[in-house]
Amino acid sequence: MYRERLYLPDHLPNEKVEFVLRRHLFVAFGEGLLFIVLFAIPVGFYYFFKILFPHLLASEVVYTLLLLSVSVYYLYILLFAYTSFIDYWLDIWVVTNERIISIEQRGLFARKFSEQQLFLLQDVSSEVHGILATLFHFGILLPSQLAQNRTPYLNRCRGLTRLLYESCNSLRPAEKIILERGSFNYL
Amino acid sequence: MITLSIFLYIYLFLVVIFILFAMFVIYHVIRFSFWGLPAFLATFLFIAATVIILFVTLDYCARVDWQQPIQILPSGGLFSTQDLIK
Repeated sequence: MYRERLYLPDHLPNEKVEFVLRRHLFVAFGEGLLFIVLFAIPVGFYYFFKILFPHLLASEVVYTLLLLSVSVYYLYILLFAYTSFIDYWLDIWVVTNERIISIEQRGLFARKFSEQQLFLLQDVSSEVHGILATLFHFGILLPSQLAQNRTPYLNRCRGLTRLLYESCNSLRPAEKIILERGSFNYL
Repeated sequence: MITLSIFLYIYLFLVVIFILFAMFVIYHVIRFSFWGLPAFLATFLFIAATVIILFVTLDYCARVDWQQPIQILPSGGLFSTQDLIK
């Protein structure tokens, strides 16, 4: 079987992966629908031409040009669909016994790593908004640091914290594990 | 008057760009991805579909006379197709 091989930046000694979060499949399914529509467009055009302009398709030159165009079209739609899946698949949040690591793939040529040390966390909460999020159990995970409002450096992380963990699945188990593993200091 | 082969060269150029990008994406998966079953299946389907599309296209292309001339602007007018269809 294919085991999930985690790529952790700056792997710490004795660091153990506790939990892996991804965006909910429903989010990827929404993008998948778009590609299904894009795949169906040439089929629609084919029947359109076949019914209204059947003489065009009878020409070898036109047919060859159409075939080459459709072939290129399908190749690139396939590439975009695969890239979109990889974009979804590489966006990952890893909860280890030391920290929470966020790895975001932004297109083909950009990746963003960020991490939060568990011992700096003050609280963790989750939010579920909307009918779909309620039905499919996905939402926003909000680990927060008390110090983020006190120091300029950590204050910059505050906005990121709220964005990084959106639409993730398994909210409650993740929240529970972070609460258990973190050394929460209520000052 | 140009020959049909010019479109074949354009097609092959676009396929080369596609292959370069595809290799880069697959490199991403191998380098950074977490090889689970979904990633493996997606990569397999992507490669299989690419091979099928290229095979069907090139199989058809092998039977086409690429030296036949085509006229981009028809003599009967810009929107006439009478020269294109022979």
